[in-house]
Amino acid sequence: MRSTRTRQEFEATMLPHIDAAYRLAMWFLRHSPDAEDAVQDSFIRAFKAFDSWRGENAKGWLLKIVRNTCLSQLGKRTRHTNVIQLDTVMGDQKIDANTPALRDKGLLPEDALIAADNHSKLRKAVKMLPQNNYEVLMLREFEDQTYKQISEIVGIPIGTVMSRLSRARQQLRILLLESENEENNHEV
Amino acid sequence: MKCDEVQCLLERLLDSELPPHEEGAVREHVENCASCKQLFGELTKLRDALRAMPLEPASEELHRKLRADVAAYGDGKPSGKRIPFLHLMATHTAALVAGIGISFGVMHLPKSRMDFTDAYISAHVKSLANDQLTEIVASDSHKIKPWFEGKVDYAPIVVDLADKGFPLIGARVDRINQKNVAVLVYKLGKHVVNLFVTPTHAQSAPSVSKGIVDGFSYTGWRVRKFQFVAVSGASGVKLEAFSEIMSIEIESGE
Repeated sequence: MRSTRTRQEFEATMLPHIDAAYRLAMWFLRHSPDAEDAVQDSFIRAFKAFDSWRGENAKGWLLKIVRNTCLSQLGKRTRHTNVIQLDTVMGDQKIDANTPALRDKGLLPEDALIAADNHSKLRKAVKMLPQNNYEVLMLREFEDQTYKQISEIVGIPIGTVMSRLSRARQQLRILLLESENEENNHEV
Repeated sequence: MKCDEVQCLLERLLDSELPPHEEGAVREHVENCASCKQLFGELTKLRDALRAMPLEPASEELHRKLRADVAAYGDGKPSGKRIPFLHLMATHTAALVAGIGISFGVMHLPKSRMDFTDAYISAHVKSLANDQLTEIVASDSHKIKPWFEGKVDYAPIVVDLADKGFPLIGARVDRINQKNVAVLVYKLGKHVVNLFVTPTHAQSAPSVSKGIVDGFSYTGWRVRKFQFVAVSGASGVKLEAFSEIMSIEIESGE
């Protein structure tokens, strides 16, 4: 069935990114069995479309497929409206790091990141980032994707990648500062 | 360079995204400016801390499953022992032609898009319900293309994707928004895909994006001055793969 590219090539280029695929799926779906299903679904989709891969940035190509798979699953979860507009699932909501809304909404899933105790403060802060900003930060820092690669995965202009990334960092610094201040206040 | 100029570029420096000629100038400024140096130091510290955070890996079980899946699928024996992801894909498409008297709750869509999406979905349902899927049964694109002559006022692009896992099974002409529209019928696993092909200049070719209506996935795209709308009971993911492969095939052909 496979034409130009081989199964061995797929295994060599795509299978090393299982962990990255799982992390992204986990972040979207917040539930391990669902994330595993989505990763399996994504890999078969990737396998079928493997001939269309241009041979560069295997991880980014795969992550884009994982992202689409997850969005489509999230769409199914909200089936009750009958119509799913994917852009509402990942709408560009603007949440400032200082607003209380950030603490109630747009939080990252509890178990998306498992950090050791010494990373707990940072982990806590990262969880409070608005979703859109977190996604870009994660692709940059955890998956080591360039601006251009992130723009392709998420489907946003490079300028938006830069502004989201910048906002994420600024918000993180504010959040870390706040948590430090809180700690100091407790000590006084 | 001034501080405010440099501060805009600091993150690009951090991310190795500056062109070489700018990088030198920014680095030099950072070295000689206490406040920019401090800011860059903070950003670097934050980056290093993020990168040092332990990340959750996928389970051994998932690794093992995926390797097995790829091995089984790659060897082209998907119908042998039960392959988990095939089973998965089948269950994902469970919400299909459950009934014919389906009402379309499309109230959240803008009016024009709603009408067109609705028209395509209705045409899809009708084709399944009345057993009018194909007016010509053929897998050869050279047979199907001339068949459309005189039935629609354009020559649609017809590609067979059998070697990619989506065999062409036939074609028909549907009436959509008072226009005759060429419809190609493909097989996608257990499902059929109705692919509506219209020239982009035609009135009946509004841009349709993608989504799910009552269990049917649809996805629209444009290639080579044609608007394609695919509708199927298969999952949106599978339909997207179909559309991706189809686009690539068309773009690379001719």
